[in-house]
Amino acid sequence: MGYRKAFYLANFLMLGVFIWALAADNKAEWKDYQSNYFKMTADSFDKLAAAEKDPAKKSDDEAQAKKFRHMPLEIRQIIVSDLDRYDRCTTCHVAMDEYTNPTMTTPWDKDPKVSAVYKGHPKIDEALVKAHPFTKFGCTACHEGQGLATTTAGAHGHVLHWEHPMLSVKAGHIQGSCVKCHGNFETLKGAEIAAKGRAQFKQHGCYGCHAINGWGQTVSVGLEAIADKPFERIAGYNYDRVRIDGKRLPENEWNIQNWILAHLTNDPQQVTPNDPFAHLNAEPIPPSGMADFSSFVDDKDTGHGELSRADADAIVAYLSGMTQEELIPYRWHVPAPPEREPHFADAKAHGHYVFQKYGCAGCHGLDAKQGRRRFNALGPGQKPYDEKMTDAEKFAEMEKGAEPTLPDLMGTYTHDELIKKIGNGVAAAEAKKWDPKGPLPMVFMPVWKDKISKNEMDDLATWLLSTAKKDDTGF
Amino acid sequence: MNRKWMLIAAAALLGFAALPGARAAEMSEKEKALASPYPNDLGPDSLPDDVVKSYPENVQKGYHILKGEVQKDGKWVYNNGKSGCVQCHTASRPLNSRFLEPEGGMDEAAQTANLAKLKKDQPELFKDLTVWQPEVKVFNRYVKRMMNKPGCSITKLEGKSIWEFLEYDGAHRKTGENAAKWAEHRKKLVAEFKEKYPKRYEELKAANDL
Repeated sequence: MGYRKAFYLANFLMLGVFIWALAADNKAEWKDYQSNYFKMTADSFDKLAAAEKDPAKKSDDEAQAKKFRHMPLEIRQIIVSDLDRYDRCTTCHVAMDEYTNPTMTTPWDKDPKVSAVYKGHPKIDEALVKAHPFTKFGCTACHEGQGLATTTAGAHGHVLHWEHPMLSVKAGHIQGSCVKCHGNFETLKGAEIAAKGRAQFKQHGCYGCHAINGWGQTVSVGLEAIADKPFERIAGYNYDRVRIDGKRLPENEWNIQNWILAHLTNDPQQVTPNDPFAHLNAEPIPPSGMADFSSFVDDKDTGHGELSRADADAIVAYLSGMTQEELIPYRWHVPAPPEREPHFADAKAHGHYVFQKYGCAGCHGLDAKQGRRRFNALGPGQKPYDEKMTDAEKFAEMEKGAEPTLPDLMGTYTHDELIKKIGNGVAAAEAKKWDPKGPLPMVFMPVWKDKISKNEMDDLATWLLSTAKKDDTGF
Repeated sequence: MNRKWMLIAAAALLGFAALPGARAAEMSEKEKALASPYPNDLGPDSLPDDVVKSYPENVQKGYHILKGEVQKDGKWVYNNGKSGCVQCHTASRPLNSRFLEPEGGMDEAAQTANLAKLKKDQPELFKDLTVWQPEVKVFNRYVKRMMNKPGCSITKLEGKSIWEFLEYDGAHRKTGENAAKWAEHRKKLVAEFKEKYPKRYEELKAANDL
């Protein structure tokens, strides 16, 4: 083939690609949504015009209908300069575009047969939405998702490698966005689920291991930026083990919300099994030290674990607001007054409050009733260690290891001894292992003397001593 | 040939290098306890026979159980560290303890009364906490606490015997005409401890736990 023929062929190929690109763009998903919306709006104006008797108004309605029938299809976007974001959500959700639809409502807002994509924003008249004008805040500041994308899947962010998909409104995860800016979210109308999440976080003792912005312990990772963490980095090779409602997560659902939810609704040991027998590492690494909140059944009526699914979703909502990556302008922040310490007339009641406040329940169980699992710790009810056991047999014994059940021990301490014990903690290296060659139990008793005040410590000891079981040793 | 020997030597060196790590991983509970020593640990891990024999029979039983001995053919024999206090630490720790539980057995009021009597009759027992720490039910609580330690196989009956021994032994070996001898013994242990483990000494001193 001569150069001239090759040149012609290349040009025709290029033309073909160009035509294909035009055709593909013409069939873009968003164009259908926009043209349908314009047609629906034009039809509704036609209907109004037909019913209108005032000639001037009739003419206006007809003009509106004509305008919408000839409205050009175009990418629409809200420029959120404060966040340096460009949210193109209104390209499909035209009814929520303030410039095209100033009322941001439609005649079919309440029609269940019409898809939500053509409707105005729910609760548009409520203070919550009014306080967050879209022209300033855009969409993704609250909803998350991928603002620049112009396909449904891409924009909603449920695609592989997009770590910030739209937060679920149904499960309340979206309320995490309130937490990002509103320090006072616990008293904020509309953020009740996130507030419940924080209350659950406190009650179940999560602060005992996880710190958030300096409050809490450092036994495990700090969670002040958990919402920024990429699932794919922290999940390691464990994708298949991250399950929600017993089902493997599809790739497009790999995100931090599901990672947290999987830990709260499954046994975290299954989600993060690590390498307790050092098959892959030089040293054994214990599975997740987090308690199995799905197995501590405390509600016989519902049969759910210590955390119900709604509780778990509330915690996910709260933690979804734990971001440091998003450069939220200071003007957006609403500070909260310092948390008030309740007053207690009774030392025991105050002690119980202190137990919850510092997250002791994370290891010692709700109301100190039952020590939680401590993998490979020596504990009651275990068979003696035998090197000949299979890995599965060893694993079964290792997971019987537990944190102390405090009422069993409280009778053996004086008030002062207990304060000293809590104050000094128990170092991880002091743990007694069931399998001497196995991993060091991950969870340990931190040093509390610098965190808990003297008055609090006194009352905590008073309450703990009051939980002591009756001495049945006979001496 | 040279290369082969070099490889063997390198492998052996690597093996030796790995040994301390493996050793640390398999540290026994007793080794862990000794890694955080107390002055008590420097004292003898048994009592003179004549002292033991002078104690009532049930008290002697507690002594043998504490030392991790079991009865076999009418004799007390060492159970290879599988029972008693020696499962987790040496017998020196309780035998040289500063704790002093007033006599009175299970009767707390009697112990309290005896403590008051001790305070009146022998005020020197309350002057130096590194020598005597007289306290109602102190051994009772400690024995029960140790029994609750993970992996401890001391039964309730054994625990009771150990406590009976510790209470009786303290009241007889650490007070009255033996008080001066005991004070000399404890002070010697603390001085030795200070010399041998100066850092730990300061740590325990600051925590009032010498």
